[in-house]
Amino acid sequence: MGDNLKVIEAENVSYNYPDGSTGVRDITLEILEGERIALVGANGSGKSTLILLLAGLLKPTKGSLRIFGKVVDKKNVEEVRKKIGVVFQNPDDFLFNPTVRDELLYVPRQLEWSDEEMMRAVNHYSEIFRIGHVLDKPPFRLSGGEKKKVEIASVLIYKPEVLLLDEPTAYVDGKTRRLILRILDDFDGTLIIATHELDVAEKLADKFVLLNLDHRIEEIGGKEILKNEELLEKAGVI
Amino acid sequence: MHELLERTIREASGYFQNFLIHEYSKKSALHAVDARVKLLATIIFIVLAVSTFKLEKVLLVLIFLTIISAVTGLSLRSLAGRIWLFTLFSFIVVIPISLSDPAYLITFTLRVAASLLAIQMLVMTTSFSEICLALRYFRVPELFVSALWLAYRYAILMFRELLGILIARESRRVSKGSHMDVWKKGGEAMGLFFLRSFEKAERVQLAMEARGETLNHYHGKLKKLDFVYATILVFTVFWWVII
Amino acid sequence: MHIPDGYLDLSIAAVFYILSVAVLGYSIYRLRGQKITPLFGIVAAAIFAAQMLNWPIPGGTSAHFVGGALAGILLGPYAGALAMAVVLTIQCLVFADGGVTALGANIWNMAIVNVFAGYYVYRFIERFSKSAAAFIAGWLGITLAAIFAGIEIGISSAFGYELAITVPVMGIWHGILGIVEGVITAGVVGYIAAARPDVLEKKAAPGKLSLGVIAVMIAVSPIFAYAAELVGYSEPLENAAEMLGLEENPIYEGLLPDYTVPGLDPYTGTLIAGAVGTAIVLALGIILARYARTA
Repeated sequence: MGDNLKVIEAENVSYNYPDGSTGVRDITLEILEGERIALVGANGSGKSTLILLLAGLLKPTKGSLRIFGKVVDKKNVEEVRKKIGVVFQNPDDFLFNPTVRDELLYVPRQLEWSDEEMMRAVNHYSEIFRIGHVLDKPPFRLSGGEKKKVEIASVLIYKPEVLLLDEPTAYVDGKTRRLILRILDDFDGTLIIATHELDVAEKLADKFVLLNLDHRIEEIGGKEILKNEELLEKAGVI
Repeated sequence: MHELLERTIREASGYFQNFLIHEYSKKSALHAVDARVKLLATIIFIVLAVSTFKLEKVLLVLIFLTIISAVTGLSLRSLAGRIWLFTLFSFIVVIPISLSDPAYLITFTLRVAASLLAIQMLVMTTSFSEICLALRYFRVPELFVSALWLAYRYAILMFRELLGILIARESRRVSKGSHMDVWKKGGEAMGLFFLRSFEKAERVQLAMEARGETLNHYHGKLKKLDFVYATILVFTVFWWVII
Repeated sequence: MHIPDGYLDLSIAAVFYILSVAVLGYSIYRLRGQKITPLFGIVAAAIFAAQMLNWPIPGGTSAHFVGGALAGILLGPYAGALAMAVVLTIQCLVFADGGVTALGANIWNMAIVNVFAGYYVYRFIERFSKSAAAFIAGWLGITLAAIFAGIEIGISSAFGYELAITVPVMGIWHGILGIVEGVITAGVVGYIAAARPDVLEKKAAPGKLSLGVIAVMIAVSPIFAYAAELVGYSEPLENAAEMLGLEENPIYEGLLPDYTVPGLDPYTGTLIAGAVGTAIVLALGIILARYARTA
């Protein structure tokens, strides 16, 4: 892996919500191709906002943000969306298709895949995620864990280069949790995961961005951050 | 979908500000006046302004309201900022038919300005909960006022939810769409949103039943302050009649 | 299409206040005891939120979704009308969007005409196609609401333009914008019909008689408006003052007889009367401010 391609570059990025509340402040961050990054912080520290910004779904209110080397605008937005996948914290915001199968094929259909490609992909991912038995059910009837699996499968199916997840293991049962962690471990693109669960962060990532309660980056570093109790306390994580 | 989200988010802060404008605006004497008196006064001031085309009467209302605002501590600058757009719009709209009657142009515009001023004086100094209680006092049906208050409380939350759904939808949009596509797909996303709002309504229903929630009733007694404001109101009406 | 204060004659404003109160009052009466407040309150909040969206339209500007027809389709006409009335009242008393004297007319247009017409149309066409029904309901609701607004400001002498201009302008402009409303309404209804058809089923025909009466009221209301204008109650306070002879013979002869200063022409007299009034209001305002500080 000799390529040091900068996938996402944030420079002094801040985001304020229309209602006046602060999302994040002064974020300067560089994400290289293939990196596995965990955004760690207490609830309310801005992790979710940062995920949306890094995914190109929100525009910074201050500072500059480049994705794949460019600022996201009308001309390149669809290209960016093709290469990025976002798994939201609440699957109910995300799932809307009549059946699980439709959910999985939502992006492939837009990309005009052949019927064969689509069938193969559905079989492949429904097997990995063990959701073959619910393919024809409406997503809103599924359990929390099943919804989360469908959500992740619907994103992985179009093979994004960058995968962002916001609290992927929240509200899922133990078995589903293990499955998800295994699948994410196998993901070989750029991984960005927001979580307040330190063990999940440790398992999946090798670079850690610690956000504090002031919505700023407290520290960026390796696994040692997770062991630094003083730092974690300062950031409000423990 | 891209444009839909961008423009909406850009305009949203303006809306949110209005929700709390009575808190943002400088504390004026009017903030302390009883909402019932203010509500009645607003209606009467507006009726005075729009029931006549006599320039002197309209000017009187406009000038009196400006003076009251200034003296009681309302920022004339904020007021101007909030009424200039519609006033200008009204001015421009009637120019074509005022060419033979410039007095109409002026009077029409000033009528609109005076009404806007009156309503801003209310809106900027009165919390919506006070307004709801005042409405209740004036016998507006409980069913309606409760819904009014409920809708107000939940409006911002619902907007955030809608935005969340639209953003999630946008994250999986990989092909350009026509305007028609944006309206159709946006409508479908709103379909999910409205379904969720029904579920929310059910939960709120249960919560309200569990708490036995009813609107508070108005306890406030009128203060000297309120009588002074009422006096100003009466005086304005009187002077309006005789001028 | 919120009408501000100053565009409507008070007589017209009054007529539509009365009509709106009648229909809303009846709606409240019909729904009493049904514990329906959270439903139309929350849906009102949802419609309010939906109205905040800026839909891009050809030409570079944005249009806003109103949602009257949708409210009627989702909640039935009575709760739908109440929900829209809630939205309009909040917009008036929190955002100063739409006038206070005009609120009756705005409610008539956007909470009653829009909702009931949308509902009638949807119910009639849905047996053929829910999506088409929803589209036409959305489109027609907006267009009719706009036409009524055009009628109200056209008949009013306060707003100089005549019916022949206001109705076509409002009707055509919103007839075009109505396409967006129609497509969005069809999108919402189409999604719900596919995902949770039971939500749409529950509204069986509620009281054909009252629906008929309201339809007639809507159709006839422009005539009431025209009649009110003919009778000429447009300046009630002034008429009252004239009747009482106040303008000719001021009750209080003392300070400013004939509202002039003796010896000066009427124009200057009016100026001085204005100045004196202003000074008194100023003084009263200062007293108010002082009380507020101690309150």
